[in-house]
Amino acid sequence: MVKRFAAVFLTLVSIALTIGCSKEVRYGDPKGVENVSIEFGSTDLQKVAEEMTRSLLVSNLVVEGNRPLITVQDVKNFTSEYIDTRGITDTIRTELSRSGVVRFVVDEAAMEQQISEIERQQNEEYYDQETTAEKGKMVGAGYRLEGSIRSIVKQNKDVKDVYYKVNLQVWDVRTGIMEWSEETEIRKIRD
Amino acid sequence: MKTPLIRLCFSIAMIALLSSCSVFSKKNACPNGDVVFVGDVDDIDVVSVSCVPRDGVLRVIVELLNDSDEERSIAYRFDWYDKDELVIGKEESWKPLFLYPKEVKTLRATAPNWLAVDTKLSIKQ
Repeated sequence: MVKRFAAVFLTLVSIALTIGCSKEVRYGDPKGVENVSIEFGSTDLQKVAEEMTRSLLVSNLVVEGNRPLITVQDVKNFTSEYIDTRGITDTIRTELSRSGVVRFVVDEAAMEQQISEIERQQNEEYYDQETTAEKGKMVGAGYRLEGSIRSIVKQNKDVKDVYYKVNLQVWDVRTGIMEWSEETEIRKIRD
Repeated sequence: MKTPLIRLCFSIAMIALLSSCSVFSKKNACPNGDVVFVGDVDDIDVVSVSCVPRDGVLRVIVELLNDSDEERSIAYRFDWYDKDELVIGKEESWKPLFLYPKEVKTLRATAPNWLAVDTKLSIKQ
């Protein structure tokens, strides 16, 4: 009898705990201001990508109709936190592609897949060689996009202050001339 | 004789007064150049909205005034419209903006492409 009572009691307690701990899940605005934590977040990524894209769009690099070829290189992360810098360049690349003013060629990260695909198509047994991509036809980029993100963190027992600086540049591959550079600053304070 | 002179002086004074106040009205506004406040945004005033097409791309300069005696954090974003008044591209992200008390802050924005001819600024708390 006591055992049975204990079992029922335990079941009721676990049900109550489960109900008590469950939190409602809701959808939010992916473009909304996110200030859950002081770390580099979605709002920062979107702000950086948007400002950089718009700046590049009105730079001398982009003259209507010339559609320069760009390859994307690393944005080096010099902060103390993990930041998916590829997310920044991917968003910039997507935004610029949408505007139609520049074109992107295969970058270092995607090169392996590109070569693999070309080599796969060389298989005469499966592919009509009239339609396949030939080796040696890839086009080299005229420009390369690279950059860095740095932070300065100050903290005492009451306040944490983080300053981010994101810098991007576009370099002419042939001449080595820097054709465009832009900087975005973000400051976040938690008190 | 005195009355017309007094009237003239009064008119001139009124014109001068209105001219000085017009700093706080929209100047060189975009075709619509709307500024929309989403929800209650107290003490944030739009000083001016200017649209300048440069190299074929629309650029917008908006001056915002924090009319309160406290620091304010707001968020803003622009929507861009083509000549048919259709929204261009995907919606922008909300961007945070910090203003000191009584500060006039200038926002500068560039359209996402050459198709934009008009813009709308949304501001929220």
